[in-house]
Amino acid sequence: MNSESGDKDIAQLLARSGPRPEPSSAARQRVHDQLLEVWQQLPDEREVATSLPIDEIQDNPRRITARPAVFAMAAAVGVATIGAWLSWSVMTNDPTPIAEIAYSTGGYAVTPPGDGSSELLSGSTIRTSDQGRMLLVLDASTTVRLDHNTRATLRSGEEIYLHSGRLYLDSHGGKSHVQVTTKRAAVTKVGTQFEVSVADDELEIAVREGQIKVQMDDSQTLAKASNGLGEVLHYNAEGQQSKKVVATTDVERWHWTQLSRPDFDIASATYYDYLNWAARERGLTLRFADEILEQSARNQTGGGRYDASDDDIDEALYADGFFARAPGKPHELLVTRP
Amino acid sequence: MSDPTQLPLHAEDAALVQRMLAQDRRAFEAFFDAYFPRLYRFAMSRLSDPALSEDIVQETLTKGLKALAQYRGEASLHTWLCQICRNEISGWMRKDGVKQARVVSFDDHPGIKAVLESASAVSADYSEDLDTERLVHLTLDYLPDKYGRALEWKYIEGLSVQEIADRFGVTAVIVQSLLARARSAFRDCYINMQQELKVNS
Repeated sequence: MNSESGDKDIAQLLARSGPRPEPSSAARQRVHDQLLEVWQQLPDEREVATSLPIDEIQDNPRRITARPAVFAMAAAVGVATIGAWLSWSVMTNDPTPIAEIAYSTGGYAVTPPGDGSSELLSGSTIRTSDQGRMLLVLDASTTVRLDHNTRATLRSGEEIYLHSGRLYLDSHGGKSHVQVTTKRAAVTKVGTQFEVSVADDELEIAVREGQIKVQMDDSQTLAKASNGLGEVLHYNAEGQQSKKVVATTDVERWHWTQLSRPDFDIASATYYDYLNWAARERGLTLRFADEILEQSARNQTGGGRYDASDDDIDEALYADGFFARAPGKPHELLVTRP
Repeated sequence: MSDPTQLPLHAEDAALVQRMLAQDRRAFEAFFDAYFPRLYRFAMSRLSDPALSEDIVQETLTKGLKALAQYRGEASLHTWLCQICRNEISGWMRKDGVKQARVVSFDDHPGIKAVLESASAVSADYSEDLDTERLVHLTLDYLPDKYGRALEWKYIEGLSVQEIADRFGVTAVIVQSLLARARSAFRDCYINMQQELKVNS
């Protein structure tokens, strides 16, 4: 075998050797069941996390307020079961980059420390400071934002463990099945935007788009957003669940997510890309007056950098004179012709 | 998380162990799927007895689970478990009065063991005296689990990059990068073992 050859040598070698022999499924099942019993009887050395000092925000009663308490949850953490997938990087010895820091403000720390690049490896734990926020890109269609005082571990490209604080996951159009797990629950998205907050003994999950599934112990709860309203599930220290709804456009609720990402650079995208982005940032549903107009937006590129504010949307739309914003439902961004 | 100033060499393995100790069921399943087949082959290469190998591996993994809290990540989890397995096999042999010299696998040779455990890169000539199939399978088993699976899926089962990506639940770009690293690691490890066997034959 030539160490400098292409893959032909390996291909021939492996084809000649054939697959590795596997133990019988019966043997596998026997050993698995017996080992499972042994493992389940091991002492539970689950991490007992101390709460980060999350500031009480007096002017927003919907935020979870901090208590000087230590996590004492004894509830088992359930595992969502969409298909039978394995945690990608945890089972490997290879430190694969699974996310990239696309934006950050304030301070943060990564453990174990990386090489100074923006790439994050599987198993990395990120902790934002009390002024810090950041946006991570997992793949072409999935981003995660971390608020102040948030600690999260990227267990794999498809699982994020939230120790404490708040994160916002935005995933659209992709095939990924990113899951957010906490000490108490596992939240799986079905093409969606949602927020998970962990503070002391409380857990809150808010859906802004699509649908999520929350697995906790033996129970499963679905929550969704539709027609401009998103469901919010709140679990108190005793595990009792309460539900309410919040407008997808509620500024007070969602504004922090807009502080955790950069502006949009239209120079490298189409009008459709920008409008779709702005709509998602604002919790709006993008609609065009007709298909021809939508196709036009998909084909035209613009210029400049814009935010997702109303002023910026209007400025971007009017920049070339092809589009205008029309009055629509409160949760819609309706684009028409001037 | 571990002290960042004293990171274990095999941080991924250490992270998996921590998750298992925290009663993460998926971590247990990942552990079992990654190590049971490989340890089984490890035992079979020495014992050639499926039922006995199953018993030995079950005992190995049981002891491994019970000693998990002591795993520090200085050696790979695979190496650590293989050592437990060697001890189990030796214990069985002593108990059954079997002379240990009768069952020796070439990966027990100190030179080969060192190669397999470090997979350092040295080029060497190909030797046709080797048990190619066993050497290939041994190399695949000692590589990180996903390397071995990716190589088998691509070059034995003939899956496309996208099909492999679908099986792993990741993007095709990641699989392409993975395959490049897997080929390199396989090549290095295989060549080194051949070299060691030639030197010591």
